[in-house]
Amino acid sequence: MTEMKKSAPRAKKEETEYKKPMDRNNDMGDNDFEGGDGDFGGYDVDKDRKMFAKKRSDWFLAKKTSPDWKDPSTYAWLVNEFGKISPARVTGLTPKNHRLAVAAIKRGRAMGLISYLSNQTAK
Amino acid sequence: MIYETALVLRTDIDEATANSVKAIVTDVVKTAKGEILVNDDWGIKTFPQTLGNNHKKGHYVYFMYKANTQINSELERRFRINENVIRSLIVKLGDDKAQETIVKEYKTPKFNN
Repeated sequence: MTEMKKSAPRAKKEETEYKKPMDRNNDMGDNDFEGGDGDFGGYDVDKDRKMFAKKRSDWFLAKKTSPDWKDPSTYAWLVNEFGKISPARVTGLTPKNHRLAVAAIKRGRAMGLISYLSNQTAK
Repeated sequence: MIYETALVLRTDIDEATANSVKAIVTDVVKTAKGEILVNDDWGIKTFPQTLGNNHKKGHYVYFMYKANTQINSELERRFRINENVIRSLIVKLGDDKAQETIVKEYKTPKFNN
């Protein structure tokens, strides 16, 4: 969601009333799509992106650590109760740290430090 | 190159046999003119789920050493043959230049939960 293509800056249009996507679909018949690229019948996509975009806050950067397979406490919080690794768009990790974390989790699983089926760790 | 290995040993063996498994790493590395940097013992841990032939606990042993690929392939071969080794892992850590920082950063992991 946050890694979409950056569109070229375009001139500000007249402010239109914000409509939810469902309402917009109902009005579709009335609008002629003449606005060009990115114009969905008075529905500003860029505005929506800014509204729903989350700020990145990397856990590993904040703590000044990196994911390590030897220490399950660094990566156990990335695994849900069914043993699934949560995606980077949910956890807010940088792509590099997410790659390292996934590698660490898989090594930890192979060595019996974290479960394949749940988020339990070795004690 | 600097590598690290961790072994999971069976818990129902004597100390002498456990030491003999540890000696595999030290002997192989020394005979090939390598160097052992860290020799650590994490102790006995309970697995979150059973491993191998219904093992519930494992004895974790950790080594860090300077070696090459020939040593690693020899170590892997011996780990597979040995019955007392449940799991083993070899990971590359970095160049010889970064030896000091890698050894400094190493801490025995805590398993408190």
